[in-house]
Amino acid sequence: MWTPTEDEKIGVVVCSFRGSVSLGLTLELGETVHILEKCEGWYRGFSTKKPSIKGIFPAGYVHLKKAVVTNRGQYETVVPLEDPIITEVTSTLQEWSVLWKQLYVKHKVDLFYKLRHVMNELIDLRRQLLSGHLTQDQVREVKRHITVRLDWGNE
Amino acid sequence: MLSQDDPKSRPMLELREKLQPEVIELIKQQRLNRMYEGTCFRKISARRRQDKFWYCRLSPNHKVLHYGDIEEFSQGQISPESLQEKVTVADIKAVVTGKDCPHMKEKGALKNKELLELAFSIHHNSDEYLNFIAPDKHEFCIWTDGLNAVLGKEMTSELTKSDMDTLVNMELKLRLLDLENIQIPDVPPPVPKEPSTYDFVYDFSQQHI
Repeated sequence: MWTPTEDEKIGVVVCSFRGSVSLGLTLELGETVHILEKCEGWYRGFSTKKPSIKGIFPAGYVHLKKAVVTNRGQYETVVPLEDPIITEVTSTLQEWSVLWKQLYVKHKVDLFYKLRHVMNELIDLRRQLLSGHLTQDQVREVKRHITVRLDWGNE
Repeated sequence: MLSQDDPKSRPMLELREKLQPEVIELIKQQRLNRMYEGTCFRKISARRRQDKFWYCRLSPNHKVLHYGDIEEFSQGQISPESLQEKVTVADIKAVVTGKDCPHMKEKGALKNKELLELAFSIHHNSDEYLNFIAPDKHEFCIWTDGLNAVLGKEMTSELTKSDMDTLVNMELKLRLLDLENIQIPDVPPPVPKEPSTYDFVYDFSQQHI
């Protein structure tokens, strides 16, 4: 029988799933899912990109991440347990990506390449933070660099 | 080594393939926008002392190419009204390049390697040709890609390949952001047997969101 999940709340898709079962959810590599309930090796939940579509997918197709759950139940909110600066960089990169593609289509060459450069730097800095190999001082340095770049982007 | 470090692993190749169609659409939009802005071309001739200029641009609805001679080189856009001639896109039979172009085949035509790499021609109606010499390789790619695009054909220039790489690589990195330090299986994990019940805990069918 299906039971609500306790700790299994957020997952990242490690293998694309074509949803080829009844009520299956189609999932792409790298997507984030919010898990509601589980049964016999399956999860039921939704992609954070398309929250109104609920479906089932194999537990083995997602990698679980620690999460903070509020208002547990049907209308719970779930947030990944991570350094807020990581969350900020991730969402900024996704926003900028939309802008970046527009710059390409409108042939704003200079800005296109500049933005690409800054995005690559942010991706790198974020990776460094997530590596867990940095000392406290290095972490502070990296965060400072990140802030500078986030500020640049917001012009 | 994590799967995402290996660009040739199956999941990476699959994701790249999945991302391509959307990127091709972006490239096509860009090419069409550039053609809509138009380009100033040179009429190169061995006979004349000075080169003449002409301008060509695509109409907003992508159905007509407007062109005409202009007095002097123009960086800016020339309005379609001042361009006297036109070719209807629906009348275009083919686009040829390099040595297949009529203006490259003529006797006495200037034929050096650079020009051949910049030459392209639009074959329209049954026997008419509109001949171009692109100002540079970049414009050559923009126009040949753009013309292929309006004709519903594949864009095959080096610029398309390089733009594709640039755009897909970034998209790939963004897609994989949340998989940092996480192992990606090389082959799909087994799919369990379908659950014995679909009697879920939560019912969302009454949602008005």
